[in-house]
Amino acid sequence: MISTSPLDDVEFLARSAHRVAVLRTLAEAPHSRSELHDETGISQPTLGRVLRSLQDHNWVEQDGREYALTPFGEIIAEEFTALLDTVETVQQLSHVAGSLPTEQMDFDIRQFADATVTTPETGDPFRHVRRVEELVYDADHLRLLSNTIAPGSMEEWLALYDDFIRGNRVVESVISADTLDQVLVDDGMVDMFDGFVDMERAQIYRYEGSIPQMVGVADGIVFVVPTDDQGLPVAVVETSDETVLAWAEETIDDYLAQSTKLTSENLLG
Amino acid sequence: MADRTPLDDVEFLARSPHRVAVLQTLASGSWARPALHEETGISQPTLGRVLGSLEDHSWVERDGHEYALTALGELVAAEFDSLLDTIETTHRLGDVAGLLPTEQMDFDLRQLADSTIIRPETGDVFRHVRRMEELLTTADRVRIMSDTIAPDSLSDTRDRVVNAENDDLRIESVITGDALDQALSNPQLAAWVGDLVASRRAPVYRYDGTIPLVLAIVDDTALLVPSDEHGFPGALVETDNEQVRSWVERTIDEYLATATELTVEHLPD
Repeated sequence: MISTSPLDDVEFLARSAHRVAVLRTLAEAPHSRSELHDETGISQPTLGRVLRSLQDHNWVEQDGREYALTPFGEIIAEEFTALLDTVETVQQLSHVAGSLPTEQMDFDIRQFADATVTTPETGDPFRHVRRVEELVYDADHLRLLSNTIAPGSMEEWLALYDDFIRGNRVVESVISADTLDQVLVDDGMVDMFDGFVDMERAQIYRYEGSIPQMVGVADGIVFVVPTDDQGLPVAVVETSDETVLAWAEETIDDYLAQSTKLTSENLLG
Repeated sequence: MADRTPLDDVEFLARSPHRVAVLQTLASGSWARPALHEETGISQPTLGRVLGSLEDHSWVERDGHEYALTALGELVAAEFDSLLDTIETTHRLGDVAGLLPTEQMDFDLRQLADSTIIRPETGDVFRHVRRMEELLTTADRVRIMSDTIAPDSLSDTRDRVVNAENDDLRIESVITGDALDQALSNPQLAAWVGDLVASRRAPVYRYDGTIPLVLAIVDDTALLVPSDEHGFPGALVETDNEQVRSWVERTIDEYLATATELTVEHLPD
């Protein structure tokens, strides 16, 4: 056993992506050396050194051909992974922190510690938009506060509408008046909305004012879509944190209380 | 800012004790630079660089002369500390962990973070044994599961039970058959065991089998006494941790459930 400070041990791990990869692979299950090589892609000589150094730290033990974590290795792998996850969330949140309306929320950004943040990626600039669509269209129960309607052709809309009619999803949406007015200029869209508001399962409300950002609750998961200066979505932040969930429900309730429910009669204002 | 991986950020912290010290100090509140310099002993120019780099990571922010962690910085600092604490626990437990039957324990080693570990020392190889006897002979409520009977300890316990003025005194012992047979073959020890059984304050149970380690509850403290490869007590782990205590209680219950209570009939004449 090497005698070092706890910080030395963290550095020992952190400065080698290979050590971290081997530790995390062994956290899933014991592996033989050749399995580790296949799984991690680390060269055999390097793998030998990595395993020896992890054994020297008493984090890994060898039983015949199998390498496995020791009880110490298990808890260190778990804590190190938790740290990496937190840092990853922090990195993602730091990109969107400026655009999250934290001043409107009665909690701080730490409530998002376990959040999943989806951002555009080089080569996939609509990754977050697709994720929002998944959340919105796949939820059995959706509550939504929205200042936008996803772009789509009439065919796509009709397909979604058809899908909704056949299923038994329940949707409650509060949509800003500006957005509704832009959408309800097309006869096809008006007919479709007419069909929606006729159903018990779809309650749509018109809010006469601006909605700063999209907030939804899809089957117990809260999602918030912060936007940039131009109003374009920059990310989707998802969490099932109870405080955030309570805030989202309350926010949607507040807007809903000041909105008008759409019916066939008032659909065109 | 170029894309950094989560591991890059962990390494950034781990390779500099100064950054860690500043982050940990700021976790206690906001500090002006001169105060931070005094507290950490880090030179002014270095401190400037450290603070600048932590600001670049959005972990630290400056408000006038005061530096403080951002909410995101607090997340990172807390998780980093948790990892350091876990590693420190592993260092403290050291080779004792290898003696513990970890696969039978339903708590993990992190629960032993606040435990006191007493090991034999050169010049005082019975330090841990003495400490255990001291605890066993001063507590009002004792439960012990053991595969040895120490004559001194039995004698002290017998005197306490026989002369007890304290109605709350209760000492429950689950002893392996081998250890009991050995003790009962000695007339003096057998007489003392007889006194315990007759007192009704100190039931003794015979367990025919082997036990994984010596366990005890002394008032609100749990004791674990793992043996070394020669069967000799290798260390004493003393803890008030709720999960560990509950595991020790339940484990003693389990062995007791298949043990036989000793009565005067079981004792030699």
